[in-house]
Amino acid sequence: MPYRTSSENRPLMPAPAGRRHDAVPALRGLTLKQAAITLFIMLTLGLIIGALELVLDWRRMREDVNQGIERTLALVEGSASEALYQLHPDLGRQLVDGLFVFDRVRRVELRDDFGQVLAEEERERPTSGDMHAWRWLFADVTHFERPLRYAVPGGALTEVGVLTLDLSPDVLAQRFLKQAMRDAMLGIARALFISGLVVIIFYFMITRPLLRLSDAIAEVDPARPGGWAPPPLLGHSRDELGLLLGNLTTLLQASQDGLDARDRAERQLTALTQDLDARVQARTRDLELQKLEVERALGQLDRAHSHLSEANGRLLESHRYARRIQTAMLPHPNALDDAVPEIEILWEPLHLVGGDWYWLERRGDVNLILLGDCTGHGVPGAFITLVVASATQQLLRQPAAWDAAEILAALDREVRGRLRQDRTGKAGAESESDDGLDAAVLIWNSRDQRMQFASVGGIPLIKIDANGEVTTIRGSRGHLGYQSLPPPRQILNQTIGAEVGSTFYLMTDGITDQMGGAPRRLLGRRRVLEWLQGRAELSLSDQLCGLLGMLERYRGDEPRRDDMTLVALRPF
Amino acid sequence: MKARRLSLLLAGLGLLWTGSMSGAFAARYLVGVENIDYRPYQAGHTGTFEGFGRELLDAFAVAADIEFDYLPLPPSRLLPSLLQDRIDFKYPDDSDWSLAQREGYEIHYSRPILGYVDGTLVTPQRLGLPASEIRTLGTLIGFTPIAWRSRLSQGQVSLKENADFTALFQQVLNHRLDAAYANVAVARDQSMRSFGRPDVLRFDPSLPFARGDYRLSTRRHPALIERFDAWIQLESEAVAALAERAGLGDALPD
Repeated sequence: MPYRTSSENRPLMPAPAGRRHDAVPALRGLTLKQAAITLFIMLTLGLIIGALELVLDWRRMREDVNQGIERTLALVEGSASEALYQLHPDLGRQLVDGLFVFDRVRRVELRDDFGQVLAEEERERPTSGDMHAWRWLFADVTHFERPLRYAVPGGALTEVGVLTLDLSPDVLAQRFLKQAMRDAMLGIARALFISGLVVIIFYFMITRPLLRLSDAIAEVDPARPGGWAPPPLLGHSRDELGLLLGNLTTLLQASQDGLDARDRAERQLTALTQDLDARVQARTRDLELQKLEVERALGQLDRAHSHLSEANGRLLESHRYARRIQTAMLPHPNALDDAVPEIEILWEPLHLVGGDWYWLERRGDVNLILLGDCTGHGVPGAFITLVVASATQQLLRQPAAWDAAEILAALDREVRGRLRQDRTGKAGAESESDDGLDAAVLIWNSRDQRMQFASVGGIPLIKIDANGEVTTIRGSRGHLGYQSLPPPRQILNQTIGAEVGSTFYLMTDGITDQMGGAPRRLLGRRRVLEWLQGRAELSLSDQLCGLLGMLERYRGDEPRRDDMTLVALRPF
Repeated sequence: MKARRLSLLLAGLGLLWTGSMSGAFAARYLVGVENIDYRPYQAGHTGTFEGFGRELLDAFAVAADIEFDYLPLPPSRLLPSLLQDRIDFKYPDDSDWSLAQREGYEIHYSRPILGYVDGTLVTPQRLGLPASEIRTLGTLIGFTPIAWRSRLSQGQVSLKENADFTALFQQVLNHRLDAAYANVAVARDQSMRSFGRPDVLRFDPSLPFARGDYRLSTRRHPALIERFDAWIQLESEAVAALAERAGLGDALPD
């Protein structure tokens, strides 16, 4: 059978010494095992079959004995009848002697019909062997009695006596046991012979070829399995050993192919690895360069960040200072003195400074609260509040009585003027400010439980009376300021009754425009009013503290979006 | 007239009934006889008892108003049958035969009917030889060679039994037997019928022989034996005539 050798490119290497197993000891060999099994099976089967045959032989021997004696008695019946009829002792004796040729006959008696023994003989018991224990085997088939009749002239049959024959159970048992012993010995000899024969056949048919195959397998060079020379197994080309040899050869060849393929793959892998190594080295170099670049960039970034941090710090510092300035622009919480029994103000710019601004002022018995929500937040918003605050200060110093709508209208004009939004043509176009504000003014006389309210934009007055009823008083449409917008068409004053126990709220849209909740959406004025309505019995300080907590919970991780200002008061 | 005829008819029927009743009530006895050809004395080998013995006993039965049924048996069975009362009478019998078997039994014998001589028969060439030359002696089954009893018991002679005379004679003639022991008259008769002459074997009176008488024997009917004895004496002439006719005139007792 032609064999492909391993790749010729593969350098010849000395065959590694394969681990060769020791020869199988004879006592553990297949041959002896097979012999033992065969012998065991043969002996077991022989024992079973022998026992069965023994029983059958026993029964057959009993039957043979019975039939043989019956036939013998039938054979001698005529002579015995004649002897008895003639009362012929010699004839009877001869007959008895004749029956004693059978060694199993122990006693024969020929007794005539007169009760006399015509002939009788009894054999002494055998002295060799004690068969006493085995007599039961044939004890019930040892006694035979045959009544004898004689045909007298005239054809009638007349009783002439009885032939009695007793067999020796000892002889029968001895013969049976001898036969059984012989059968047993023959069975053992047969088992041994067959086992030996099977062992020889098995050895030459299987064990020896297997040993040759095993020896040949031990010679397989693990490095070159394809170079294995299969042993010649004559006569086994078409049987299982031939199949095993063929499969083994195929396996080794396949292993050789696999080794070749592995070698090829190793070579390819080596080449690939080398290429990859080169690429990796090149890439590593690139990466190292890039890393240097990145480190350099990161250094620059760190410096920039440091600059930014520094700038931010300065900016924050600037903001903080600006907040101090803006805070200084806010009225003192006690600006209305004791004219208002309870008033609380929440002012929370989005950043340190913001676009919300409020003002409290008292002129005699007249009290004024102004709340503005300027464009934007942070520094831009704060700047607008500066403008608004300056304008508001100026307006409120005028001697005329305070009128909420007029104040707002004047504030619109003042803002537009100060931000040069009131100019038209080229001068107006030069103005870079298109800022403005929403604002609300609440004026009431401490002696009069009536309040005047005017608002432009989105700051309503909310009233919750002593019964918990909520009333929202909205302002006029439009905004104050804004170059791009016209002044409010009409600002209306609204008069509101201020009963004892009523609470009023002015709030910028930074309160209600909180984003949060699930699903995510704006808080809305309705929820704020429901929350306040549900806690109307609380003090205003507690209300604002609780409201801040509610707003934070509602926002969750959402950032704030705008400045928040809320003025709450119970004027009476 | 009618009454007279009727009385005659009734008388006739009465006679017929009486006659039939007398026959019906006649005593019947079973007589055991030898089933061998023992002519001229008797013969029973055909199953039917014949010869002098039959004629004698039938004549007595008629005279005694009894009936005899005859049962031919082997001679050896006759005595045991009598002893066990299977038969009423045994014929012929002799108190000297089978003495050992008869011990302890009371058997009644009739007067001698016929005398007999049982002797030793030899071929003519052996006539005159001493008894010591006889080693093997033949006889019929059931017969007792009384004259040779002592020699037999001493083992000087061995006895061989045969079923019939022809076989017995042939064995002697073929020298398988030295001599035959049998009834001399019967032997002559058998020789004549079997071999055409009466002296194929000859009686040697120098050799042991025995004389005796044939009798009728019984165990249970001694009275009938007495009647038989009386009848023999009374009818001696008729008995003698029967013996003469059978050729046994010489055997009549004195």
